[in-house]
Amino acid sequence: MSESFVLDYFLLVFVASCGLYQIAAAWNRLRGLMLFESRGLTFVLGLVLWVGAFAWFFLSEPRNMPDTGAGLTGNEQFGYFFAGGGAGLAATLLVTSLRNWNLGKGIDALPTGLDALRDTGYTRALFRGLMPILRPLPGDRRTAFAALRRRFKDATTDRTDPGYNPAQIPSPATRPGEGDG
Amino acid sequence: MDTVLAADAMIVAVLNQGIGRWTVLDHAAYLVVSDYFIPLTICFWMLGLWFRGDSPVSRGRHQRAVLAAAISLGFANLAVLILNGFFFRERPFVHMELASLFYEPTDSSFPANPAAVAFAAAGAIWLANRRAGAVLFLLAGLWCLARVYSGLFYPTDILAGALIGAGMAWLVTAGMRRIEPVPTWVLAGARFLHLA
Repeated sequence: MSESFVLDYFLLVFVASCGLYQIAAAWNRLRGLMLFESRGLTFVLGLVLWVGAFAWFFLSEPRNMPDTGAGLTGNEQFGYFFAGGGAGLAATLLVTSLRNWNLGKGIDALPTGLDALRDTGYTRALFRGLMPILRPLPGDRRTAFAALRRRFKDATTDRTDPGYNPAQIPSPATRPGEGDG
Repeated sequence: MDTVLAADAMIVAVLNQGIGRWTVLDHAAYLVVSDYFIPLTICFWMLGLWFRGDSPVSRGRHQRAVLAAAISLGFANLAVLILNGFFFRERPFVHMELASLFYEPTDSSFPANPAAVAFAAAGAIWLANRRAGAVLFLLAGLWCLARVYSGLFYPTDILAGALIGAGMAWLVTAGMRRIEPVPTWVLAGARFLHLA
């Protein structure tokens, strides 16, 4: 009984957080984080996941149990919330990266932070950011460490990548891999 | 002091009479009084706020508030734990014949831990975003009201917990400004990974 309650709580947080990330993606136009091209559909999916997870957890069995029994202590709740929310984030980033594999393929530079996910999927944004560190340009004297420092400084000062040009981003109609159903 | 304690008990007794009268209200109170519903809703609200903002600057402000809220929540919990070592007040249902929607906790009633953590989170968010904070204050208030309604806490327990929580939120928010640039580095790390 006690173990099943922990698993139930973890599942609730996992599914509800997946829903919340979809709602946040739709709300903030983070297309790289959306499971559907339509913002409305993504928002509805997120809402269904969030409400569904809560409904399942609270309606499936009585949950007002002491932490000496099947319930969870405050610290356990804190820990499992981070575990469930983190797992939900990892799953969302993985699935949406695969789903939006070709999104932002033609873009040379991206803004830092979450803004990059407006134009491309997560793994592409991550590797694009790490590229100067992993593969310094020929003739570039910067070491990998200096490149890392520069990227980090950009992140602290809210600067976008110097090469980032929003005008360069192709329109959805011309975006590679999109519009083919 | 006796007057305050008598008023405390009277408020609990009056509110508790509502249990069993309206089925819909009982079901709603059963949900709201739970250890999970409001805390999870507060946490998800904070998680949603992490993404909120049209520009990196406004998003960064929200993210700092979420960090402050998470830290305040932990410190408020710790403060209540320490105070429980010095004060022990029995729960209302120990002294009065009350209907209940909840199990009977054995720890101290004063100060109320749920009030401390919920108001800590609400306070820290409110200092950055009044609207988002107001929603959390509403949730915190509902949770605390349900706890008094169910005979788990006296109103003064809630008041003390809320003051601890709100005070902790203010201290942590002010403290985070003092320890700059550490919060900026934390957020920069998250931004570097495209997570903030």
